Amino acid sequence: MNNKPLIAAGNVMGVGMGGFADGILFHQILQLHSMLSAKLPQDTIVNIKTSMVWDGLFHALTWITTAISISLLWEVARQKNVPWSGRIFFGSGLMGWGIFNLVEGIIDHYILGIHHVVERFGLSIYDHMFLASGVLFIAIGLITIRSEKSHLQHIYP
Amino acid sequence: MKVFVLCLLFLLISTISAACPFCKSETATQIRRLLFGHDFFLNLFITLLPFAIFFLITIFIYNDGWQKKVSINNNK
Repeated sequence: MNNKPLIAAGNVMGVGMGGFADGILFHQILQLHSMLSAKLPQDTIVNIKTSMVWDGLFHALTWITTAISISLLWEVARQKNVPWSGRIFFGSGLMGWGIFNLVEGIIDHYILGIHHVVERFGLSIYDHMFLASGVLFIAIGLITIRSEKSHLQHIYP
Repeated sequence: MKVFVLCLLFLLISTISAACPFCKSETATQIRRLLFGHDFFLNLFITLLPFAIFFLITIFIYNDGWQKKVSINNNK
């Protein structure tokens, strides 16, 4: 049995869903930051509208990522040697979400400093928590995948 | 009451700011200037960069990066 295609599909979907969670919750509903909020202070209509375009590009990339994951999942469904395991898919998704939080957090919040979780605080405890959530999600995802893999090895030795 | 009516009147006669990036207005021109300014490609790169890394990580996981290297070393 080959789990890798399912893990890849779940992983990419997790990145997409993590991106949407960030974009919808933090950028739009709570409006804590936007893509370039450290560069463009959100205090004029020109800056807000310009940020909205970059947020739109971010959401477009997130949409493309999710679409790719659907096509990968479609391919998985056609392969007979890939186990159709909900737990592996869930674990991979959680791992993908964690990868999103970790990579996006390190690059955008820490290295480039283009935005922070709560922009008015700058680099704060919330950025550390965002990064920690990424590590936690990856760990839970990996544990879920590994436990299911060993379970499947008993069924399909 | 007088103030309320006056405010209502001002609301009625106020114009739309037309601030969409491709509208025809002064605000829209300012947005375009800021959007397509000297740092346009830098901002584009910054927005694309995390996604490139996400896909590299996924390809790495899919190819079982570590395990392959370990097995090659073991074979040697």
